[in-house]
Amino acid sequence: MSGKWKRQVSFTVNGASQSLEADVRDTLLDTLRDRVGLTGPKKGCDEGVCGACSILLDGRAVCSCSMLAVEAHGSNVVTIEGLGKDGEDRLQLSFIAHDAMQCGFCTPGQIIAARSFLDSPGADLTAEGIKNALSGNICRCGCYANIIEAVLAAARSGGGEP
Amino acid sequence: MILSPFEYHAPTTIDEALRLLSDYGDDSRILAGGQSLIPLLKLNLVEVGHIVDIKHIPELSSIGLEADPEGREMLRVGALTRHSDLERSEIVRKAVPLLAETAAGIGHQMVRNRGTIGGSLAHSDPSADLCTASIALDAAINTVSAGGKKRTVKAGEFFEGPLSNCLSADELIESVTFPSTGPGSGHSIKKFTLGTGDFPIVVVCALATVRDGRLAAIAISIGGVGGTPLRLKDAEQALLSAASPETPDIGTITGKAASSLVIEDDPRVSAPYKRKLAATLLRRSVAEAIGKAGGIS
Repeated sequence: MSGKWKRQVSFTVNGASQSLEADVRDTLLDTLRDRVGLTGPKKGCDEGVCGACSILLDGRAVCSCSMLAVEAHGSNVVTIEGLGKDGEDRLQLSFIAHDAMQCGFCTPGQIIAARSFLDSPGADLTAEGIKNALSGNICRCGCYANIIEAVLAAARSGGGEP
Repeated sequence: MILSPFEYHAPTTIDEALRLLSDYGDDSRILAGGQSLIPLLKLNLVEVGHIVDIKHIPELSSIGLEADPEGREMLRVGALTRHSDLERSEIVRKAVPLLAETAAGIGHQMVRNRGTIGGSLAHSDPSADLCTASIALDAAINTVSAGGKKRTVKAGEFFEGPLSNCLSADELIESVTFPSTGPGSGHSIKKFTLGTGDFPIVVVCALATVRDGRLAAIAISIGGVGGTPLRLKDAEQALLSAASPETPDIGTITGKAASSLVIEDDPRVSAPYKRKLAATLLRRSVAEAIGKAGGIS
């Protein structure tokens, strides 16, 4: 298909400008993974329930499976690959220090959701607040206790900014 | 992935959006936050030739206070206001705290960062938090249709059935207005979900005003038990005209309201269980709203 079924999408991904022609039906998740080559956002449920596909869209965590790529036109997208490019993101380091993962499939989404939460004004930086903020990110290995510890520690040490 | 092809439109003005809706009618669907529409498209439950993305229309995103013709303070929120904006806005938290609290409890963070109030109302899910709250809050839904024709529909008259409302195919929700709930009022939203972030099975909202230790006004709404969220006028009246106004028997009145609801089995829970949920949530919610309003003495 071509012509009216396709659209030019221009957006910023992890600080770099991207412009590509997308089928208007493509989700942002498929576009990031298959066209931009960023496989950090994962395809779990593909229906906005598991949170594995979370990315930051203009600074706020959203499910990239639940939006079209064309909807991201003109936006600033950050995936897990865009956080702490030199491996020094405090939140990522905190996840490692607290062993907050087992298989790691959900980890990019957990960290993106945690970053969005820590960056939001008036965030409730308690274990309860973190549980609520990460309730849309499912971990089938059940590492929740360590994940909450990791985010709490990052929050205490200054919000996760490198 | 989405199988059925559609043409994508991203109008930047309301006029342009209305022209598209009027040209394509039933073969078009408005895309706001997409938290319901995108999953429906992926499941092929919605198949339309034209998607009209209204997110590039700046007039639809605003939060502000105004006065109605009688001089009462009203909160106006644009249709594109996201749940997370309602949750965080100081104006909303102060003017209509039930709205802020309702928004804060919707789905999970990623849904709240994307979903919009106009989208939620237009989707008209009978158990949606915002649809239920809008009825208790006497919200007014302000729409515009082809030719710039505007109208205002009370939330109580807006919903017509599961996922259906009185909007025509060429009509767009522009904004929603809520009367400010001033001092002396208390609110409550209680719901039962199978897991955090799931759609409510039953959701109840209550808004009470207490003056001089007496219940002066109360609004109660319930979602998830019928084709649309409902306002429980009989229970409201019974509470206001209770034989002993100092101690209206909240449990008896809300219990009676729950037993008079028409409830059908749900794939998740049986009708009798749902009725018990309704009775419990109604009792707790009404008691909490009255308590927060200062209590009856």
